[in-house]
This record gives sequence, C-alpha cells and structure tokens, in this order.
Amino acid sequence: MLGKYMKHEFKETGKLMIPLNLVILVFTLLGMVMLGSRLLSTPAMALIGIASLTLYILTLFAIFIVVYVYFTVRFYKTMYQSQGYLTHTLPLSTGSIVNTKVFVSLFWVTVTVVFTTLSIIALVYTAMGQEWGKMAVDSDISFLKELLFSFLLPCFSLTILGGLEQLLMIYASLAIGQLFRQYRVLASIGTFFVFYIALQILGTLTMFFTQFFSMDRLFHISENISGDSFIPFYRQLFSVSTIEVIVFCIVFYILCYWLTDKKLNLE
Amino acid sequence: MSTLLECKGLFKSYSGRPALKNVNLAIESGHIVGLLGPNGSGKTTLIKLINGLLTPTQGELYINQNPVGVESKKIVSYLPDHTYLDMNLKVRDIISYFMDFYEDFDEKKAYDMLSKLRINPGDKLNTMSKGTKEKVQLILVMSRRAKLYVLDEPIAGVDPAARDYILDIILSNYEEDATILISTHLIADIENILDQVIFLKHGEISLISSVDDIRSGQGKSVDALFREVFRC
Repeated sequence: MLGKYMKHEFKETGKLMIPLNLVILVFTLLGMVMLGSRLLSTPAMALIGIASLTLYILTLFAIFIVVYVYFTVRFYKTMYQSQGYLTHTLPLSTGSIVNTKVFVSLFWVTVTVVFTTLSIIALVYTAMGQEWGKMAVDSDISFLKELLFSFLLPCFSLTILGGLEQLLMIYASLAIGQLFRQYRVLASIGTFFVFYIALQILGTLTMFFTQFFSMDRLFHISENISGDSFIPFYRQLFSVSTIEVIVFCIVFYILCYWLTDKKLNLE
Repeated sequence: MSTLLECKGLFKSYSGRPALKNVNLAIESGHIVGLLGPNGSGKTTLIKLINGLLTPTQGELYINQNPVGVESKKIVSYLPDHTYLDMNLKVRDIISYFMDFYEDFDEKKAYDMLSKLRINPGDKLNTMSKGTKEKVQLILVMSRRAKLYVLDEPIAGVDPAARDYILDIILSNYEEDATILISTHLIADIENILDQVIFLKHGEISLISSVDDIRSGQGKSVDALFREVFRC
C-alpha cells in the first residue's frame, strides 16, 4: 500500500517537477552552445552574455522558489484541506502518509539540486575547460582529494540535509497551522517565521557553545580560513552544522507526525 | 447481527466549546440509519470522528471491533459533504486511484454507473458541473463493497428529481449485510428508506429508535417527530 501511495505521489508531483528540471537542462545546453561557440568574445555580444547569465541565475532561483512553494501548497491541500478528506480516509497509517510526502518532496529537491550543480559545472567547464585541466594537472592530487571529500561532498550533503530541514520546517508549520479554527494559513506562516528565527538563534548559540566561534577563534578567523588550514576549518564547520540540522530535522518531523496523527483537525 | 459501530462516552470540543457530549451508540450491520439533526447539532463532527478526520477529546470509537485506523478505513466508505477529489484529475484516473487503495472497489460497477449517467471517464473533474462532480463522488463511494457507508448530506444541494436518483444509486449498490449511515436534515426525502434514526441535538443523542417504533408507537412520521423535537 505504501508503494502504491508513493507511486501516485511521484506521478502527480512529476507533472511539474520533470518540466522544471528540463528547463534547467535546456538553459544549460543553450549556455554551453553560446560559451562553446565563442559567440560572446566580441564586446557587443558580451552584453548579451551578461544578460543571459543574469537570466540563468534568476531562473535557477525562480525554480527553487517554485519547488518549495509547490510542495508547501501540495502538502497543505492534500493533508489539511478538502483533499485531506481523501488522504486521511485511505487505509494508510499517518506514518506512511507523512513519510511518503517527505521522501517524495526530498527526492525532487535533491534532483533539482543535482541538476543545478551539474548545470553550473557544465557551464564553468565549457567556459574554462582547458584552464581547469591545467589547474588539475598542476595541483597536488592529495589536495584535490581532500578538496573533494572534505569540502565539496560535505557541502553537497549539507545542502540536501538543509533542503530536508526546510521541507520539514514548512510541514511542521502547516501541521501547527491546521490546529487553528480560523486564519490557518496565517497561523502557518507565522509559525514558519517563529521557527526560522528560533533556528537562527539556536544555530548561533550552538556555534558558541561548541566553542566553534569562540572569541579567540573569531579574533584569528582570517588566519584560520586562509591557506592550507581552510579545509580543517570547513570540516569542523560541516560537522557542527550537520549535527545541528539533523537534530532540527528530527524535531520538525516528530512535530509534524504527532500533530497529524493525534491532533488532526480538518475544517 | 454484530455491532459494526460503537461509540463509548464520546466527547469532542473545539477550543473548549463542546460539539459532541457523551455520545454512546451501537449500530449493527445490515441497517440503514439516519443521523438526523439541525445544522450545528454535531452530525458532521461525529462522521469525521468515525472516519478518523478528527480525534476525540475523550471516549472511544470502534468500527467492527477495531479502533479508528488503517483496519477501520478498509471497511468504511465515506462521502463527505463537499468535493474532496483533485479537480485536475480525470474520472478514470480517480477510479484507478481508488482501485489501488481499496481492495473492495468494484471497477466494473463504477464504469457501469458512469455509463448510465452518461459521464465520460475521460473528462476532468474541473470541466464538470457541481452536480456531476457530486455524482462522480457518489459513484466512487458506492462502488466499494464496504461494510459501513457513511454519507454526509448526500442529497443536500440537489434538485428533488436528482435526490430520487441518488437514493436509487445508494439503495441499488450497497451490500446487503452492510450498514449505511446517512446524515441529513432533509428527512422527508429519505424517511422511506431508513430502518433506524438517531436524533442529535446540541451534540447529544436525544433519540435512538427504529422507524417502525416511531410510526407504530408514536403514530407519527419521522419527519413529523423531527419537527416536533427540533422546533425552534
């Protein structure tokens, strides 16, 4: 039954998410053609190049906004509005419903992050392919490995975890909003901002309590992040941030699950 | 006859305001039961509790000896008092959705009813009139071989001719050993099909009786008794 529900969720969400990711693909291919053909080498065409780059960046931002707005609206409509009457009368446990929604939305956020990352890499490579090759040959292999495993991959996984945290924070806000008899959307938005501010404060406090941003360190921060020591600095930053994000994910998930299971209050 | 639906000391309040107060109820299989009461009497609240769309403030609710949950939802077919389907879907997509989740869903029955009503399964819900959407929902609900059908105001908002047709769909498509719980305030229209009635007044049960007992014992129709009990 869980598999069937997941199949339907993928089918429905794919109707928007596949075209959105195709837009990234099309923009990337167009950009690669423009950069590869050296069309932009003349000063007049450089202006078009800057305009295209701006459009590309704005499109990527817009896509991520659409993705989050879409999953927010979809979760609200299918869980706590009229379509919730169907969702919650299916012979499925609350856990199955919430887990499926979270998994499917995280899947599409991950796909979009991967597409965006690959798009940026492809465009940068097309623009300065040969220079990249030279830099790679000139660089120390162990440094490149360190860069990949201690910086780029943790950075990627933290982005995905951060995406999950945002989704769960939105879902938990909606679960709290549905408890209100009136102004549910407003209550959800208010809850989201309270969570967001609390997250920022707790995040900063965690950094201080874990001695990550001790005064001594802040004083020497410019030395710490320069030269060879920048990878250990980021490694520590990623470790603390990852633990923090995981803790928040758990808290938001429990809130969302518990409120939907025990305090469901459909209009 | 076994007890299909049982409520024990059921309370539900919204922000401290009681909607249901100490509801004790046992409904057996094989009956058509009218859940009757004026607007705001708690009918929809009770129906939502039966379907797990609300959680009780206090008390217990069992369907076929199971608490409300996955097992109860397998045997309850529910028609809400408003549209609850994704309007962007085609009727045939919704049928396949129901087939995936409800083992008791009879696809052939659904398509037969659609064809009788001349509803095209390839049409999207958002292209249909309000009445046609309601018919599609009723077809979906009545195409299940459920043990308990819970119909919230199935004939409200439709013209008298359509009411007869809807009642005909309900009566000719439910399982003989199943129970139908119909909530309505249009009593005269459904009186003839009811076996039992439950009167809800201000969130409390004021009467549970068989229709025969009301007619023979009090010499009144259910509609007349309802008007007497709920006179403003």
